[in-house]
Amino acid sequence: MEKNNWFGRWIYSFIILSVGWLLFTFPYNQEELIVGLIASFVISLFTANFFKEFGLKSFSPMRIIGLILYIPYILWEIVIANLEVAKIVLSPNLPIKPAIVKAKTTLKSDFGKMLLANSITLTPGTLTLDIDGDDVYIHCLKIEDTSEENATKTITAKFEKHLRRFVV
Amino acid sequence: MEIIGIILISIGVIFSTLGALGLIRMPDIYNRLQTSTKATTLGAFSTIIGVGFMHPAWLIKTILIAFFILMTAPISSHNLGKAAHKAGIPLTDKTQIDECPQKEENK
Repeated sequence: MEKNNWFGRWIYSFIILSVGWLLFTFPYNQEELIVGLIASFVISLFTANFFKEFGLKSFSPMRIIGLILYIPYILWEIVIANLEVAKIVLSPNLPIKPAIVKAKTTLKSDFGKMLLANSITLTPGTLTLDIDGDDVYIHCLKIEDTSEENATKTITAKFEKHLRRFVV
Repeated sequence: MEIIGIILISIGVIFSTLGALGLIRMPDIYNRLQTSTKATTLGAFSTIIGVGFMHPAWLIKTILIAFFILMTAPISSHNLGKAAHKAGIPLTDKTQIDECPQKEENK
């Protein structure tokens, strides 16, 4: 993994903080804008050291488009999984088949693994328990086939297909 | 706009209720965490967005809050599950397989 220089990380941190501030104070006036920019400037001086994996290249158009396309996809997955879990909760005999399965991930960066684990946990019915290297341990509420291949195919692969557009 | 907001808040309330019901009905801690993610995702998410639709001036802020919830809520579920597994809390009898190794961590 190549290291980003400090300046790139600082610019990244500054832009993220400023955009966040602008969105929060949306119908903004001049004083708020200036105070926000100064605060972003000072805070980004301190936080830049922590963003080891980010830099100016995080703002390439392909990555931003990939991220924007990922949000509707994950929301749709959440709605579908929510309806399935709602059906399980409401059925009288509680047809659950829980298991802790092991799946493989092909994502390499820490940020990519974090996004994958978060996506899996956000989807009701699957819960990431641990990540160890390339292995992801997932608790499933209902799964028929507990083999590693099936878990990789049905749980991690479908998120990775979309995640790989903007993370490695 | 108001009608969309009311519909979204109703969906949020329904799914929060189902999440609470699931908390009572599920047999062990891991399955309970599964249903509680439902309350935090669709429940909180659509309630907050629904408030944004009721007051269009707040819409961007509510979307941002919902985004932060989406980014941070799984972390607590994940840590609860991991801690429970590390502490050796038993899984329910219906569990088919447990492939997660019990390892000692010295960090």
